[in-house]
Formats: sequence, structure tokens, C-alpha cells
Amino acid sequence: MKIVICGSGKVGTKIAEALGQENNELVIIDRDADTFRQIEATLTNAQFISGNIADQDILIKAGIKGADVFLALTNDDNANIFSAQIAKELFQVKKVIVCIKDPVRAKAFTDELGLVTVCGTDLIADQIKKKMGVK
Amino acid sequence: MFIIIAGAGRVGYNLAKGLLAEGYEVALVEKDKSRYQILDDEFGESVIYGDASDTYTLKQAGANRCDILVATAGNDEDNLVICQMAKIIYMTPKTIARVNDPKNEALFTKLGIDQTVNTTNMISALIGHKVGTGFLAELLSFQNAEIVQIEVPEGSEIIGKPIKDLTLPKDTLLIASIRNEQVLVLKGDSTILANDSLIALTNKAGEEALRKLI
Repeated sequence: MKIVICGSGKVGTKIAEALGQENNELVIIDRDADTFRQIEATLTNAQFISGNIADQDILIKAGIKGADVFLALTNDDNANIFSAQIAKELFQVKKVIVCIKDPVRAKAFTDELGLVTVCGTDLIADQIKKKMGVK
Repeated sequence: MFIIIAGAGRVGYNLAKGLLAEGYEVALVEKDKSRYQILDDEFGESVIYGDASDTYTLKQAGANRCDILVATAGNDEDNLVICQMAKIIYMTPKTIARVNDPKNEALFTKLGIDQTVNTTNMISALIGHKVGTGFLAELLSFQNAEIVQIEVPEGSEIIGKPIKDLTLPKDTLLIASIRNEQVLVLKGDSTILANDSLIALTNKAGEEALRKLI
């Protein structure tokens, strides 16, 4: 599968390392090229692009046309939502997954606009409650 | 009418100032604390501190009763999400977004933003317009139509002919001509002179044909 990953922070790096073990073609975009180092050390077959994920030219350069999966995993909720909608609406990428820290924004874009979202804040809060034994 | 302006940079600041002077109710939202503190002295309770893509801030700004939301931030991802959140959560009747990167205009329209203002294209067109003739400047754009201004160069084929004899592009109307700083409303038998500045209603498709004709 051809997979575009936006963001090579902690989440992006972990996902890239997991997906790179299988026979996937990975392209990783991040503003900060320094963050590529950890992935570069473990994956030899990934392509790295340094740039803004909210710039259509950068996404085209990363091969968004013809990508099977698009993952928006940066720390910037709005940039993630924006690039995910470019992937979904302009380039018809089949599987688009967006990380959104703000639970309200995550719910709004899931319910009203059909984005597939993962809300780290909700997941962490749920885990904490579970470990505390409260509902 | 109540208008929320998200982003108090130069565009948002001047827009807010102008609208307040005309008597509109305005809430100006700024996420940068030091910028907010400077504006607080001038705008008082009309300026709200916070991130407008955050519903808490939108609510504080009065999004539940606003008529128009204008997103004027310097980056397109914030402007898009702010308008979308206002639509989804508060059913804001009208959202207007500043588009900084011209490539994003189509995306904004496709995703239901009611109106876009493409500052980059507008400024470059206006500068081009001042630099030479035959350059078409977009003054206003609506859903599918736009009002443009174009100078008539010497030797243009339309000079001296009555408007009704011109073959204009589809859905294009010549509205007025600015000649020696006077505005003349154009009718069927009006004629155009060299160096007239024409104001026309057209659309994206008609724009290129109109440029060629003139």
C-alpha cells in the first residue's frame, strides 16, 4: 500500500515504524526534518519530505494522487483537518484518518463531515478513568 | 447585524474598526495574548481572547447569535476550520474566509464556505492593473460570479462600437465605464473610448474571453 503520513512526532514515528515493517510504500511529511532521524535509523525504504502539510504542492510532491492511505498525525488540529479534507475531497484518497486533540472538533468533524478521527484527549481521559475505576 | 471576526491581524483589525464605525456590532477574536492586550485598550469588550476554532471561544464571542463570521487569519487551515466549526456547531448563516494561498480557493468553496476573499490574487491583480492596461482586476466575487475592472487599451476593437453590437462572453454584462473620473452607466447604445476603465459582471469562464475581446 502507498501511505502518506503527515507528522513525524511520537505518534507519526511509531506508526511509520510499524507500517514500514510490512511491504508498504511510505512517504512522511514534517515541517521539521530533524524529526526524521529516528525513523531513518529503522526504516530504509521511506521517503521524507520537509514542508507544510497544509500546502497542496507539498502534498502533491508526497504523492497524494494515488495514495491508498492518508494519515494526518501532526500536533496541529487545524492543519490535520485541513490536509485530511484535501486528501478526501480533492484527491479521493480512500482511507483518511485524522488525529484531533480537541474532543469537540473531533466529534464535529466525525458526525457532520464524515471524517475518520482519533481523539487522543478522549482516549487518555478514558484510560485514566478506567485505571481509577470510575465510569 | 452582528459580525464575528476571527483573527486580529492587519486585515481583521481594519475590518473591525470600519464595521464598528458604521455602527455594526462586532466581536473581534484574537488568539495571541500580547496582541489581544494591545487591542483591549482600543476595542474594550468587542475584543475576545482565544482560539476561534475552539468552541469555547466561539461561544464567548457570541457565535450562537451571529449573522456573519469572517475568518481573516494569515493561514488557511485556521480559516477553513473556524468557518466549518461555526457552521457545524452554531449554524452560522454566513461564513466568509480569507484565502491566503490561491490554490485553496476551490477547496473552500467545495467545503461549503459561503464566500472567499482571495487576498493574494486580489493584490497581484490590482498591482498588475496599475502597472499596465489590459489587465483585469477582480473587485468582488460571489458564488459563481464576479465584478471585474479592466482598462481599454488604445486600438482595442471595441472602441467606438455601441455596446449592443458587441459579442460579449456568456453571462457577462458591461455595467459602467469610468472616464475622466466620471462614472457612466453603460446602456445598449453607449460607446466605449480608449483608456476607459470598464466595470463588468462576469464569471470565471467569461473573464478570459472578456480580456481577449477588450
